[in-house]
Order: sequence, then C-alpha cells, then structure tokens
Amino acid sequence: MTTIRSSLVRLLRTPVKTAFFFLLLAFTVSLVCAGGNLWKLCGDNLERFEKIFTTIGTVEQTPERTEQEAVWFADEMGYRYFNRSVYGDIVSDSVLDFEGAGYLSGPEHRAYYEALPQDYELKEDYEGMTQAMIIEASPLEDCIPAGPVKIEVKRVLYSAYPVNVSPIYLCDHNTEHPQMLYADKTYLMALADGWTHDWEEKGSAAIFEYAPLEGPYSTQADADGNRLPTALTGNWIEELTPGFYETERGKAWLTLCRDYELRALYESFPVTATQDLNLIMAFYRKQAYLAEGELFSEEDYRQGNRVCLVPARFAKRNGLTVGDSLHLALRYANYAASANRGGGESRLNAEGEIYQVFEESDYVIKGIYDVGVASDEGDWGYLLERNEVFIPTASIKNSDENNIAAYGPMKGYTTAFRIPNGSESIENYKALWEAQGVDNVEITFYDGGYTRLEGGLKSMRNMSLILLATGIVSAVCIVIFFCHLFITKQKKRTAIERGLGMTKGQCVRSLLTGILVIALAGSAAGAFGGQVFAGRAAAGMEETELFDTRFSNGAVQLEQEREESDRAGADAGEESGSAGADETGEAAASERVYLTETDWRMSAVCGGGVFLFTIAAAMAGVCGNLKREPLALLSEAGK
Amino acid sequence: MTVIRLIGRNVSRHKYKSILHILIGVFIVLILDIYAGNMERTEQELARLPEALPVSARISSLNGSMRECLAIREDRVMGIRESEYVKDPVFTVRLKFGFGEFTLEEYKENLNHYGRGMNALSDVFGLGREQITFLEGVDESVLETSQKVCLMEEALMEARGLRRGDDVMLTTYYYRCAPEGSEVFIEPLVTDTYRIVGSMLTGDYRGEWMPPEVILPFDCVREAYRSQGIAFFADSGSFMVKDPFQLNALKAQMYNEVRFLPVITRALPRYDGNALTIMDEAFIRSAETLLGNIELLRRMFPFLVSILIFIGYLCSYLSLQSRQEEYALMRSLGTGRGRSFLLLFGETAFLAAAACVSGSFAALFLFRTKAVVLVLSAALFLLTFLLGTAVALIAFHRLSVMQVLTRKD
Amino acid sequence: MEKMIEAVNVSYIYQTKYQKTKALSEVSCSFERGKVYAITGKSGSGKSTFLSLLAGLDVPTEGTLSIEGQDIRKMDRDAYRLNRASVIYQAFHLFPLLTVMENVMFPMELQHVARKEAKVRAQEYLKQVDLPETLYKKMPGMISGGEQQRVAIARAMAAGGEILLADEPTGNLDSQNEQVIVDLLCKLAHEKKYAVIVVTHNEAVAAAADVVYGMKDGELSVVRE
Repeated sequence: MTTIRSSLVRLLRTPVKTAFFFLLLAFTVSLVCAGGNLWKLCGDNLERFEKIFTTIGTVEQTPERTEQEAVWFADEMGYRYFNRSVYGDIVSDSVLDFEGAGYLSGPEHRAYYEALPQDYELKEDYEGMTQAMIIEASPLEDCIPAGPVKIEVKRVLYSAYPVNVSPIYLCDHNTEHPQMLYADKTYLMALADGWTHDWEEKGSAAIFEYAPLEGPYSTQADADGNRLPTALTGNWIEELTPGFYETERGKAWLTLCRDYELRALYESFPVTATQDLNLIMAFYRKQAYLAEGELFSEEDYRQGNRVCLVPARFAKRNGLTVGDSLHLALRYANYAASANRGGGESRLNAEGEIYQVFEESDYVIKGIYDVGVASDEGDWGYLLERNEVFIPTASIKNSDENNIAAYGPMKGYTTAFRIPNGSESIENYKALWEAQGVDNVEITFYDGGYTRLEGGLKSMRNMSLILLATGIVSAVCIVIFFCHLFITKQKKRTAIERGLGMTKGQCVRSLLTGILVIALAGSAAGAFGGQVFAGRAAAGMEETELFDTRFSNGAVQLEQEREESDRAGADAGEESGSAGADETGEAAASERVYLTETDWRMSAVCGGGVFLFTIAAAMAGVCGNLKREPLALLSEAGK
Repeated sequence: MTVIRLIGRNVSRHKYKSILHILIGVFIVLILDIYAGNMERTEQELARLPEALPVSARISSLNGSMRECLAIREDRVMGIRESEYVKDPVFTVRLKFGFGEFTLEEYKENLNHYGRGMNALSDVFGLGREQITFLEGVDESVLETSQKVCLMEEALMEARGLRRGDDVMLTTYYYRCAPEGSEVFIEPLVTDTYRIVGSMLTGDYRGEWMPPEVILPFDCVREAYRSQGIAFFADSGSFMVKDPFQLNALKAQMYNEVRFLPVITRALPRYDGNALTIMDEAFIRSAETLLGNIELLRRMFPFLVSILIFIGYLCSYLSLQSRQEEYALMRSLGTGRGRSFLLLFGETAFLAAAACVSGSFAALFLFRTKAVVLVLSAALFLLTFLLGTAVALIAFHRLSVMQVLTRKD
Repeated sequence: MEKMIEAVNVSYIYQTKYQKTKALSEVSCSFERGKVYAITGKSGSGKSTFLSLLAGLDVPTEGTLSIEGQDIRKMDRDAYRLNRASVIYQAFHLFPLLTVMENVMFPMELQHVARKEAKVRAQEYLKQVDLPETLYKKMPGMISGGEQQRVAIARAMAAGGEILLADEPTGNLDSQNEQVIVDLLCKLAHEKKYAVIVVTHNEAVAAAADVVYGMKDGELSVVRE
C-alpha cells in the first residue's frame, strides 16, 4: 500500500509531465480507435456494397439454324416474315453439372406451372374478357373465310360469356388459302374474337370478327423432353358428322370445352418455381421489386417452405396481403418458355384428357412484388406475366413428370445459375465450361458492373486494413517510446528503493502504479474520445446528400400520393406543359444502404488492447531494470 | 567537432530512442499517406461509377405496362432532347404506309404496311446495325437528320422490285390517341417521296408493336406533322443519363419542367406516355455507399491529423525533456545558446527527416501515393515534430543552467 | 565487542561488456558495533565498491562476507537493507518528489509501521538531526546539501538498523556542514551503538573515526585502529 500511495503521490506532484504522458497515451489510443472504427465501418459498408451486385449466367441452347416463317395476315393481304429458330436434339441441363463450377444457386432449368384459377380474379375490372367459344356453326352461304364471312351459330358448347349475336363474322385470319365452308354443313370450331379489319378506321365502332383457335391437340412431353405420342391432331375447323361426339376426336373436343370452363382464354395463373429469385431476370434487374413483406430466405429455398410471392395487382384484386394464404393447385408444367412468353402448350394431355392437379397446397404470402418498366428490350421471355406467382422449387413435393405440357431447349429466361462475384469467378467458370466441350449451348454472364468495380473494391478494402495495421504498429512504437521514457527516468528511483530495502515486487508495484494509472486513464480517455469522434464522423455520413429516388426502378410506388394521381389526370387533358396543380413534387430520398453507427466494442477493444500492451511493455522494462543489481542501476542512472 | 558530427554521435549514442523516433515518424507519415491515398482511391472509384454502371431511362404509360405505342407529347420529347442532363435520346413514332398516292377511301387496299420514325437504331431489340445494310456513304446517323430518306424491309423491297438508292412515293398515316387516352385512331399524314438508303431484316424484331417495314428519320416525320398542322406525339422514348451524379437535377427537371411522373402501378391503363423510369437503383446504392465512405474518411481526417500532430509534438517534446541535464552540461562547458539549440534541434530534425523520407518512400513504392500527398504529409509531420522540439528547447533557454546542474535528482 | 560484519578474502570483479575489472582483491576485515570506521583511499581504489558489498547491494565474487555470522549470499539482502543496514550517499539520493517528512517516513512505511506512528517517529529523527520543522514539508530540491544529508541520516535512522554505511557523506558539503554530519555519525555509533562505516578521502572525517582502513588498488589495510 505504501509503495502504491507513494507512487501516486509522486505522480501527482509532476502534473505537467503526467498530463503529457496521459495525453500521449490518450492520443495513441484514439488513433487506434479511429483506425479500428474506420476499418470496421468501411469494411462493413464495402461488404454491403458487394451485396448490391449479383453475378448470374443465363444458358441458351443455340439453334441449328434460323428459318424464315411466313405468316399470312388477312387484313394486309400479305405475308409477314418472322425468324424462327430450329433446334436439334434438346441438350440436357445436366451438362451444367460439372466439378468446380462453384454455383451459389442453380443451375435451374425451371418451369412455370399453370394453376387452377379457382375463384381468384385474374383480370382487372376494367379489362374486358376475350370472348372465346366452341360452337357448332354453319356459313350463311358457301364461302372461303379468307376475309370476314358470316356464320350462323347453331350450338354453343362453351363460351366465355353468352353469345347473344348470330350470325357472327368468321375470318381464317392467318391462313392464306382457308378451306371452303359449305352452307349445308355444320362445323365445329373454337373461336376467339378481337380481330377486325376496320378498327383503324372505325375504332371501337368497328365490327369484330372471330378467328379460329386450335382444336384439341397435345404437346405433352416426358421428363427427358420427348414428345409423347398422341392421336390428337389439332384441326382448326372440323366438319361435324353424325356420331362425332362418340368418336375419340369428338370426346377430345368435349374435354377441351371442359378445360375452357376451368380456365378461360388468355387468362392464366402461372406459378414459377425457382431456387433463387436472382435467377429471374426481372428481379435481377430490379424491374420487379419487393413492395411489401419479404423475399424468400435461404431456408425457404432449402426447406421448401410453402411460401409465395404474388404480384401487387393480383393481391389488390383479390384482397390479399402478406401473411394471407393462397391456394395453389398446379396442373401442368411448361419447361419450354417463361410464363410471359409461353403459351404454346396444349390444354390437353397426350390421351386427350385434362391435366389433373399433381400438387395442391396452401401457400403463405411472404411478399408482394410490383413490376416497373423493363430496363431494355430483350426477349419477351424475360418479362413477367401479370399474375405470375413465385414459389421455392423445393416446395413442390410431387413429381411433375406426368404433367409436362411443353418442353423445350434451355433458354435464357428458363435456365440460369448464380456464381460468386468477380472476374476470377467468371473466368474460372468459363474455362471449366469450355473444357466440357459443349458447342451448342451459350452462356451469358450478367454481373451488374461488378467486374468493372472489383479492382477498386479490393484496393479500398486493403487500404482500410493497412491503415489499421499501420495505426496499430504506430501505437506499439509510441507505447514502447512512452515506456522507455517513463522507465528510463526511474532507474535511479528503483536503485534508491532497492537500496532502502524494497523487494523487487515492491519496486515493480511502485513503478507500475504510475504507469497503470496513466495507461488506464489514457486508454479510457482515448477510447472514449476515439469513439465520440468516430461516432461524430460516422453520423456525419447521414448528411451525405442522398439521391432522389423519384422515377427510380425498384422504388415502391404502391402508395403514391393522391396529388400525383390528380396531377396525372390534369396532365392528360392538356395540350402543353403546365398542369392544373402547379406543385413542385418533393424528392423522395433513398434509404441509406450503408451503416452510420460505430460499435463501442471496437473502441473498448482498442483501448483495452493498448492498455494491456502498455502494461506488458512497462513490465518488460521494469523487470529488465530489476534484473540488474542496484549498484549497476545507480551507476547507469547517473548517465 | 562539427555540428553534423556531433549530431551523428548523439543519434548513435541514443540508438534505441533514435530508432523509436524514426519508427514513430515513419508510421505517422505512412498513416497520413495511406489515409490520403484511401480517400483518393475511393473518390476514383466513385468517379468511375458512371462508366461501370451506366444509367438509362425509359418513358412508359403511367401504370408502367407499356413502353411502346404511347402518346408522348412533343414538349416532353423536346424537353428530353434539350436537357443538358441527357445523352443519346432515342425516340420513335409509329406510322402506317401505303405505296403511291391514294385517297382515304382507298386506304383498305393500300394502307397495309407498318413503319416507324426513329432517330437512332439502338431503341429496339432485334433491329440493330447487323440487320441493316446501308447505301454506300450512308450510315445510321442519317436517322438523326430530317432528310426524306427511308430504310425498307428487304422482303418488301423484293416484292416491289425496289433497290437501295431508288426513290419511292409513300403515303403515310399516323396514329392518333383519343383525348381519353384509351383509344387509338389512324389518320392521314402526308404523301411524299423518299430515297431508300438502306434495307433491313426484321425477323428478329422484339418490339411490342409490329415490326416496321419502313423506317423514316424521326425529325423528318416531325416536320411532316408540322407541315400538316398536326400535334406531334412520339410513341416510345428512352435516353441515357449523361452524368449520373446529376441525377437529382435531372429528376427535378423531368418532374418540374418536362412534367413526367413516376410510374403509378395502380393507375388505369392509358396510352399517354407521361411516366418515366430511370434505371438507377444499382448506381444509387453503389454511389451512396461510396459517398458515405468518402464522407466518413473526410470527417475523420481532421481528427486523425490532430491526433498525429499531437503525438508527433508530444513525442519530440517529452523526448527532449529528458535531455535537460545534457543541455545544461553543454552550456556549462561553454556551448552557446544558438549552438546548443542547433545541436539538439538538428538531431531531432535529422530523425524527423529520416522518418519522412523513409515513410514517404514506403508510401510511394507500396501504395503509389501521389507526390502532392507525400510532400504535404511529410511537411505536416515535420512541422509538428519540430514544433515540439522547438517548444522544449525554448523552455530550456529559460532554465538556469546552474540550477539544473546542481540539482542532484 | 562481537563482530558485526566480517569480511574474509572478499574479492569483487566488475564485468562490463568490454572488460573485467578486479575492484577488490582478498579484502579481510571486521566491523563492530559502537564504532566509527573510515575507509580511505584514492578515487577508484575500490572503497565505494566495498561499501556497496557491505550494504548487500551485490555479493562478493570470491570470499565470504558475514553479517553477524550469516553469509550475505544466503541472506535476504532486501530485508537486510530494510531492517538492518542503511546507506547514505554523497549525492544524498533522496526521493525528489517526496517531502522531507515523507522521505524519512518511507522506510518505516515499508516496515508496515502505521502512518501516524511513522510520522511521530520521523519527527523525532528529524529533531535528532537538528532539522528545523519549517523544512519538514519541503521537497529535497528546496533545501541545502547539508540539510539533505541530514535528512538522509534521519531516513537511515528511521529504518532502525544497526549498521550505517556512508559513501562520501560530506563530499558535497562545506566544512561547517561536514562537521555536523561527522558529529551525527559519531553520535549514531557511540550513543546508539551503530556500526558506522564511512567511505571517505576526507582527512577530517577519517580523523574522527575510531578505526581507519586504507584501500589501495582493491586491497585493504589497517591504517589506524
């Protein structure tokens, strides 16, 4: 106790020197704290910065050749030509399974599933329903429906809404030389309206004609993509003969009617299963964005939790919100196209029957997404269908192999994978892929610009670390310097104390007390000061001018101010510039994506570290002194 | 002994302390250099961001469902074209054509072809430079003019027996949106003669509307509208943001002056092209992160510099304090004030200079720090270190040599 | 009188980085209580070294040094210096940051004497060395050399030992103070029965001693007994 008290007394009697030593240590600790906080904040923010980017690859089987397909347009009385890709054998997606690929998710050749509409509203109130019908009809006179011809509706087997008008107009719009129709015969046909040759002149006053749809046909395939053999031929307009409905063909037509009852024309309820929403280009490019709730978690994908993501309009239409239950009854899968691109699949299976539900369950709505404008043109397949629901692939427990309505080659909008960011990752993948020797499959990488920034990111990260390391080494040097000064001056004191009979232990306590007090006070003050300054600096980041997120893709627009809608209405009625409500809209600030809070634990660790090191260094110095006999110390002390 | 030799002897005599001094100085200089280098690198990354993450924008219908077949008012078109924040604006206007001259009543047999007025090809997927063969001496830039020229679909040219370079008379009709914004009509525009300067293949076209069989320069079409006294509307528009760091100004301009609205997904479907989407999400998030980091570094810099200044000052001051007796001894042996000051100051200056040089070289070779930064850091360190020494030495001057020497402890 | 300290063939070699120096060569002598011993000799003769060995600040390289029959090598030399032997120096070596009173109290506090009692005793010792009370709260740097040496003696007395070792105690003093110190040392020996051993090259101090040893080149001889 004597030694400690005496030591403290001596410390207080040199206030200036003590203060200087205290300041030196405090500043040193502040330096380390600043470096530590900086490193942590910068590092954390850089990590978040990295997470902005995702690298995906889309996979596309290249066609063997491209053919020009001529399509007749009756209103133009001419052909329009479209390029049609012709593929060879379908390349299996198993070619993407190779060692060292380093996938973070996928590869997936995904399907969309057509779900039973049940009672869900699949279209907006203001949207009219496309009239589709399956009827028995006869032309009023012998004719060739190369243009609109009148036909008498004899019997309606199915119609989307009641057929109140007869006769109606029929035009085999896309057939250059349609078959002759005879007035004394009755024909069975599936028709859809919406065509007219007069709409440009007459607009909504024009007479609409009906064009034929395909009759019963099948595109069912097996799990390897091979078409299943079928007797269904898909005739467009069939002559009705006695006993027709007892034939296989007739039964197929009746089955087709039943399918239309289940799902009207152009009304679809597609459900896309995926392992990772980043593999869906619309989500990847932030054309589709989360409006409410959450996206799927890793666990959802892994465990196959029955959760789903629904589009905002669908949710609004059906009064659904996050947490509600959505009943999904999946009927068939389409591996050939995305929900927006396809269609193309038949309604009936190879046996001419309706696809039965193979997976039925309640899904909890985990999130609601909205869709903005696409960033650039690409194939329509990359766009989302309006009622498209997303579910984790693993949530489908039953096999769909008997319910594949269409299968096709891998396309960018059906097949994708995710790999780690960075040019190294991409180059490594490319090298391994080339080694697979698969010629007719093309992989396109999208990284959101990461490779152009990665060099800089690495450099920034390294710099932060180097700064911290340099700060620590500086602190070490300063502490050693401090201990050297402090202890050197105390050699004589130690010698006297030893001369007076103090034990080595007492001498250590006497000397270390002073250092301990200064070190403790300095470390605490330095840590506190460092934390305060770092905190203020970090808080200053809040004052960084944020970008206005008006017009941004990915921004939530569901809850728009009423004045925006008013302004939209006022604007639309004007010929020129200014709107009725001449208000300057307020900018919407973006939500900060970086951290602006320091962690007090970093300062505590830094302060504690310097303190402990100071004590250790001092101990080393003191013990060094005590190894020497007082006699030698006294003689040295005179130097 | 000369001053320099004395300084050298003193430095080697206090070897341990000298090394520590130099090390502390080296690391202080390094910290300053690395810090400044870090700030600079982050700023460089920020500056490179627009190149790495270019920002585009597209006009759509208010509910975002349509990107083409819109009715975009001319003042909005001009607002974008004249904006100082915009580059590479691309606009189209859809048209219908018939060959030769015909009356309104004859439109059914004749008005069978779809066309577009465009000012650049980059707008439409599947209709790029690879699909077009220009006449010699002509390139895509012809679309930026108002010349009466056209590009024509190859199959159509073949069917009509036309070749590149031929003149062809076309009667053009335009699409007019009803005031309610939900119906479109087609009306006669103009009959004129155009020179075919290029042929195109439209088999890969992926636009929302029909593939164009004839393309006219955008401003040529605009002039046709003007000549007929018809209000002009474009049907699609997009542009690149010239400087994404001026996004806020661009958006304010687009909102307040050009009168665009953000997409309102629950709006009713209309043809009006009065909504704008700017694909800046990735850029904004990246830029804000970097800006935040830069701001952090900037705000910490004065604090860091202050700490380093004080450390440098204190180290030199405290170090010199322990040499009071040495100073007193020198004075007692006849060394004048000036020389004594010079000796001790010179010793510190030598150590500080050695530290600066070593630290600067290390920063230069390891981190390629700029010369300006190196010089400034070294100067700052030297200044503060020598200031501490000077203050300590000035305090020595005030001491009584006798008292120091006769003081036994 | 019994021998307090006995040195038999004590030798001491200084070993530095560069050289070995034999500071003492087979020194044999003894010291008794109640006497003042002076060890004289020129500078560098080894007398201060011998004194340091007597103080237990180091151990002989060769020979034996016994304190009341106990070999110093086998002793707790810290306890020896704390309780039995005290040293005063030419340069006084007081704690510069402790007051006069605190300097004198220091050894007693090391011996776990209560502060109050230590203060009372310190005052007593300071009186014995004729130090005015006005100086008790002063720092060593504020009093004269003679006063500092008296404080050092008071501190030595406060340790309460039987042996006082003085290394050139009057080296930094004027003749008046010198005499005061010599008188104090003699008083300690003759009245308080200390074994006082003084290293000096001062004739006056040697003259006051009861026994005078001479040191030359590390060898001790009796000059006057």
